[in-house]
Amino acid sequence: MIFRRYNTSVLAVVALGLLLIYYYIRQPLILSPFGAKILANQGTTLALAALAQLVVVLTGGVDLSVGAVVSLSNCIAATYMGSHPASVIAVCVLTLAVGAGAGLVNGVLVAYGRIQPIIVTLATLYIFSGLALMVRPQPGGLVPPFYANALTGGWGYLPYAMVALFVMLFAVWTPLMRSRLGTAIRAVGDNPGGAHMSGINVPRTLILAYVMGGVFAAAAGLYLTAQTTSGDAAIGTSYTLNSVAAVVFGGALLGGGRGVAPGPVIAAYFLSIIISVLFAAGISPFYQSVFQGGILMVVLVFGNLWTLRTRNWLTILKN
Amino acid sequence: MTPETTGAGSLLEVRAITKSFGGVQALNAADFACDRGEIHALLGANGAGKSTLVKILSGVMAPDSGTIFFDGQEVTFSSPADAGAQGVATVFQELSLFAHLTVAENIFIGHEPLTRLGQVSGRRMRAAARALFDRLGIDHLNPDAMLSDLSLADRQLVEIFKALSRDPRLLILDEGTSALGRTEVERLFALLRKLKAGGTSVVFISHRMAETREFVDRMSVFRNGALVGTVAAAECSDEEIVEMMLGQRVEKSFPERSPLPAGAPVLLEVERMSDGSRLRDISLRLRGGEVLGIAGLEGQGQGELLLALFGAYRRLSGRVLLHGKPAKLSKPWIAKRAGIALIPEDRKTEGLVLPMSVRENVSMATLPAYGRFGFVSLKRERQFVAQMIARLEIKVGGMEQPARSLSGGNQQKLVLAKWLATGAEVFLFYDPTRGIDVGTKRAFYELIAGLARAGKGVIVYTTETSELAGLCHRVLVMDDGQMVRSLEGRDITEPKILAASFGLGDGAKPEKVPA
Repeated sequence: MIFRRYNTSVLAVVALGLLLIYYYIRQPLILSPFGAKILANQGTTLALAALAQLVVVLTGGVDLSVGAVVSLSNCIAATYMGSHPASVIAVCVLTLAVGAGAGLVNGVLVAYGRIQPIIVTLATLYIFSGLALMVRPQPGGLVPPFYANALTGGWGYLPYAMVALFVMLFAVWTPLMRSRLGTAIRAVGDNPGGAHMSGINVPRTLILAYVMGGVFAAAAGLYLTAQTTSGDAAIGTSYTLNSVAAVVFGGALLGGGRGVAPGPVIAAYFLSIIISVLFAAGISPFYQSVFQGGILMVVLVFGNLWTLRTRNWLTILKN
Repeated sequence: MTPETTGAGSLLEVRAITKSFGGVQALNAADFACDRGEIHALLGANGAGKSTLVKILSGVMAPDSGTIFFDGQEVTFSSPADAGAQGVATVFQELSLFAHLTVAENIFIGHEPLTRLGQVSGRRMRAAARALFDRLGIDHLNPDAMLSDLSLADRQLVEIFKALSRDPRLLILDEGTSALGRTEVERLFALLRKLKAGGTSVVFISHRMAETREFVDRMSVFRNGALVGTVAAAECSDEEIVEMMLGQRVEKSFPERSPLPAGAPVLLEVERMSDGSRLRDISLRLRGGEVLGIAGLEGQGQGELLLALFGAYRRLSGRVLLHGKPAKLSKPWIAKRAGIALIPEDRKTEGLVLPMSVRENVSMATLPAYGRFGFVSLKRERQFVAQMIARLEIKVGGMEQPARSLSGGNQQKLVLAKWLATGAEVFLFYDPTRGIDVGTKRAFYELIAGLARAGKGVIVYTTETSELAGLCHRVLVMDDGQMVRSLEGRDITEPKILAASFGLGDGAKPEKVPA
């Protein structure tokens, strides 16, 4: 019964499975320690960004500033990290704190400003992007090799990217979502009035959800820094909408209340790997976007067919 | 420092509570008292102020003035959380549940049992839920089931368990049993009596007086936002209660009912319509020129019936005949083409597109009629809209004015104009006069009577009993998705409609209907 909650992830699992099988047929080399590392590294930034988006979507909102926070943390990390392990750790902590602060701004504006989340985060998207540009007007920066290797290397078939992701999932995400806060976040997205009547502090819940989102977006930025070994104020842009796509693809409801981590994480890998697969399939880069969008559309329509069986169309249209 | 105290017997005492919404006085210096360890019923017609009182007692809204004493102390309930912390738990009329959470998560929301690491303990939560179920002798609920998979009755049980899980000193049930079956209600009251023996007080709002009366100690009757009186349940007759609820009526003027021609054709016939949950075995006939009223307490399936006739639901069982021919009303546009019009409950979201102009709203349903090849002739459209505005006497500055800027009554007329334009034969009205002023109401009554005179069939569901009594040729009373009574001719009186809705015996002495 409790597993029903995870049913919504099935679509993403099946899609990624089929994609990897096809990829393997085209390019058998992916089944090697090197191939596993490449695959894992490709999707981890988006997977973390998808978690950042998911926690906000669970409250019934949407966070357009995810990409800007990814850029901002990438710029801070690549600019101030230095090469001493102590300074690297200090800057990582600082970066996560900046992410939390960005989420706090979003959360306070949504909870107490009574402004639509999409508008709040659109405004902060510009602000955070601007801050990223102030930190790093030109792409560049310095990232020590041991930092890059610790996150993008691998040990046999175990990519360190997976270790990093699992640490974030099982040491941060799961404990938070299994606390009272986690239930409150889902309850607020499901039925805000009901949550208030049930004695839940709705504004506090919203703020903490956005803070948590900010931390995960900053973690995505830190991972991206290891991958690119440089800072770029424009690099995060694509993560905003792709994180929304991953969350929806992963079975969460944009209206809030429903969604679990595995779906969006797996969908993030699907969305990241598909570009390489299209390349391996010999599809001209000119048509890649069209195929990417087309495949996403087919998968989502397929996943939504069941809702059309409803008794009352009004319930569909109101969602 | 000695706070003002009340008599030792009262757990809760409310003095001179007043609350108004805009111009409407929902509570007007209302008093109410509930003893320790008693089951106390709140009674009153729709709009008497019961639900507002419950919302104040549960911290959902603050009163404009007045004082509340709880356990001898003067208190304020600043939020639902605050009321809960002070020992008041409420089962709300609009369910406060979460579709995507499990049964156990719903019950313990906000006070889940935790493990030592601060994580919600699923195991302890399930065990605690089962223990609650056992107290009520319920064995069919699975704590791990998703709420969205539950029937309405089971959801109501969950809502009750949710309130009980907080071990309240005062439990308020606001229509908490409307979806429960007879045996479940009996079990619930058996449990409430146990709680009562332990000193918990229960304030109970139910419209099913016939079913619940035997379990209740005292009853307080509300009318027009104030307490009429508190009586011992065993010492008061049905007639007396109906009389207290109705009181002295303000006579409203209704247009004269046109006589129903003897040979009027049957426009619409419904045979044994069911939707599996909210509509059960509904049969009705509507003749041309007839105004058919649908009565009953709120939420007994009246809205579902109108929506079903308008094609909003699929997979209905039973038959619908239009002009004697079977019709399959499976989509709103099919119903529209078949000549059925719905003036919906919520004109702001379902009836109109508020930012669009008066012209666009009126012509929306009939645009193809004013043009050719898919283009609209603005001139013909304007002519038509002007005609409608004149016919319905809609007060507008101009036809390009946005619909939002109109008063509620005029907005409602726009909805009607839109549907008149389609040439519909059957008009379904869903609570058409809610929230509109008296003058516009009167105009609306004229319109309904006018539709009937023109030979159209009208079905009206309204929460105002006086309107049913004043407008209808026939009134069908619904309860729990079923037609429980049909009133005709001189039987259509407010006391009889009210009595049938509450499941009481005839509110008035039976009158002989002349043959």
